[in-house]
Amino acid sequence: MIKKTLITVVCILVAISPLIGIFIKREYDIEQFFVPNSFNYDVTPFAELNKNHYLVQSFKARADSLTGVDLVLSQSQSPVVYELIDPETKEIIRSGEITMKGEVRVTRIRFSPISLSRDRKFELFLQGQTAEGPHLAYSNGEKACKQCSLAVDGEIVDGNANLTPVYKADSLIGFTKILFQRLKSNLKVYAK
Amino acid sequence: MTIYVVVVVTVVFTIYSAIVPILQTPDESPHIRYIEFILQNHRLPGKEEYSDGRVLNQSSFLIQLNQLQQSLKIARNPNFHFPFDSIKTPPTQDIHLSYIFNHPPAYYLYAMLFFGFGWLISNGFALIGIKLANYFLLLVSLYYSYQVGKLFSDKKDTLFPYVLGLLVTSWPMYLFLSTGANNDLLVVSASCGLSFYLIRAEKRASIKVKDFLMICIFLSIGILTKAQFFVFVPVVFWVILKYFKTLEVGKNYKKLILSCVPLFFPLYFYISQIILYGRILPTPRDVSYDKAQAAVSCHGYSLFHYVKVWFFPRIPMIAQSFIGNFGWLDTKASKETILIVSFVVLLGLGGFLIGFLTKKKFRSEFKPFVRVVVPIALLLESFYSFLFFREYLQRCYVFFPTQGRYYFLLLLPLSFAVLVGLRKLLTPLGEKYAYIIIITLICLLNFYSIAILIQRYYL
Repeated sequence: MIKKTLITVVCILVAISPLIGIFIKREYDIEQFFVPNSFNYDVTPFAELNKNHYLVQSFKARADSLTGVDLVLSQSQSPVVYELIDPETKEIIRSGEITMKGEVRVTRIRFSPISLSRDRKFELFLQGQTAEGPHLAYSNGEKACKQCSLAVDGEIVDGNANLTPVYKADSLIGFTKILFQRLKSNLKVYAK
Repeated sequence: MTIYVVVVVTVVFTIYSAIVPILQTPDESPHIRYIEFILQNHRLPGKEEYSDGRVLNQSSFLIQLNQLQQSLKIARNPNFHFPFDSIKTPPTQDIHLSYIFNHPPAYYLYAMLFFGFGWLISNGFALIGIKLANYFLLLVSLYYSYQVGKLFSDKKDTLFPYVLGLLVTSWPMYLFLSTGANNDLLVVSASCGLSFYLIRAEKRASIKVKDFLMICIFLSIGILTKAQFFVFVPVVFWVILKYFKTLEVGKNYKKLILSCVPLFFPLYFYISQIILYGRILPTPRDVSYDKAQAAVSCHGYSLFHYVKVWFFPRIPMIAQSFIGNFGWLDTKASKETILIVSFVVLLGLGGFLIGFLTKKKFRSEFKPFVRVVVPIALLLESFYSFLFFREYLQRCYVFFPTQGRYYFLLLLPLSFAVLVGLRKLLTPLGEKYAYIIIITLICLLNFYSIAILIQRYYL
């Protein structure tokens, strides 16, 4: 009997483990920012920064516990350094290195949550490796960009990327509430 | 047990239906427009729409749906490469004229019945009507998968048909597709039904008149739903010719003639198409078609280059979208997941193959299954290869099915072979434990898929 119960419990836990994962993370986003055609240091003042740093987006946090951003970037063959900066004090609040994997998809930048981040302004910078330029390979084998100055590139040059600040819910209950509110808003479609 | 399985499938289907927002399954806009057009005009799109597709491209219902979706920011995840600050997507552009004329009408006529009832109440209920129509198709697939399993299970192994039914109808991409309008769903159900009657004929080495009628019904429905269903035609002819004597024509000729009546519907439809358009499935040129052609035209590449770049690389693409590439192919399961699931599937197929090649008893048991399924699989792949080379040679344009759902016609046979193979490999653990492991894996894959869908749309 105990063996049977144990096997059942283990099986159930294994099966629902992906859902448990979501609840453990408790991460959610509020909005997306469209990143305009500004991923180019010629149009962005960088007086006090290293010239290899490129401003991706400035944004205002809309909830507490900013824990990262999701950014749609093209592939790069080299690691990229990111810096999250306070635009007023120029203080580097969080920094780190990200490695983008081989295809056009979302780059997830995560750091330890910034408490009381609501209404604070942030600027996200990326430092590209400028050696060879990007290798945005299309399925026909051609390289889309042959002479780009930055390894983090591609879609952004065309002004076609999204940046999404990601927050961490304070509690499991708070997170569950957010999740169900959003599910409810989806189901509203059927009530129209 | 039957009730448990139906409840499980219903619950999982409801979860997928609730979390997948509208217009997120492949080509859902043209599918809905097709249904809506039939409902509004009480006829199929005809010559008039063929020469001027504007009517087909005008749907206030779809515009409303799109606006509603955007105002609620449903497709909010950054994977969805879409700038919300400048919403200007004209939804009707997604409705391709060629798409509607390229598909026979069976699914749309069927779904229209449910859509129409819902429409009487509200737009939302019309959408729920489509889901309900799909749910019934799912139950048909479940029933026939169960029946195929029952053909090969003995008194000791009563679980096999249930697990097979679960495996087919809980396949995440199939469930995901079932949340929106899509004619592939009727293809799956018809293929499950037809496969069952063909395999049963092979197993019994005879055809009963009732089975002959069902074969005619499912064949008619299938070929009136999607072109690839024609791959069943030679296999059906082969099986009927083989066991023709057992039909006892002299005694049953009236019943047999009546059984052939369903076949007149596709016959009438395709003859009308040829008379009206000169082809069985006409392709009117529209803007999107021209754009697509321009984007992937030859540029002087050799056939060798195309085979290298398109033909073989499609295998991982198909595997990915067969296992997990949700949304409008923008929410992929991780590479690790695809590799693990592919490995398990190959392991099952390998187990089946080894058993079939090495064990005489195994071979004689599953011969009827192999005799029906292998020709269908070979014909299907040949059909897709033919499409590839025809498009290349005729128009210098690559149009080649690279989505897993085009292979859902083989969902039941594939699940069957994998399940039998895995059962064989896991038997040393005990048959019961083998099923527990398999059911846990199905559940794990489903919860994983639900998790990435939740992340995609809600977090």
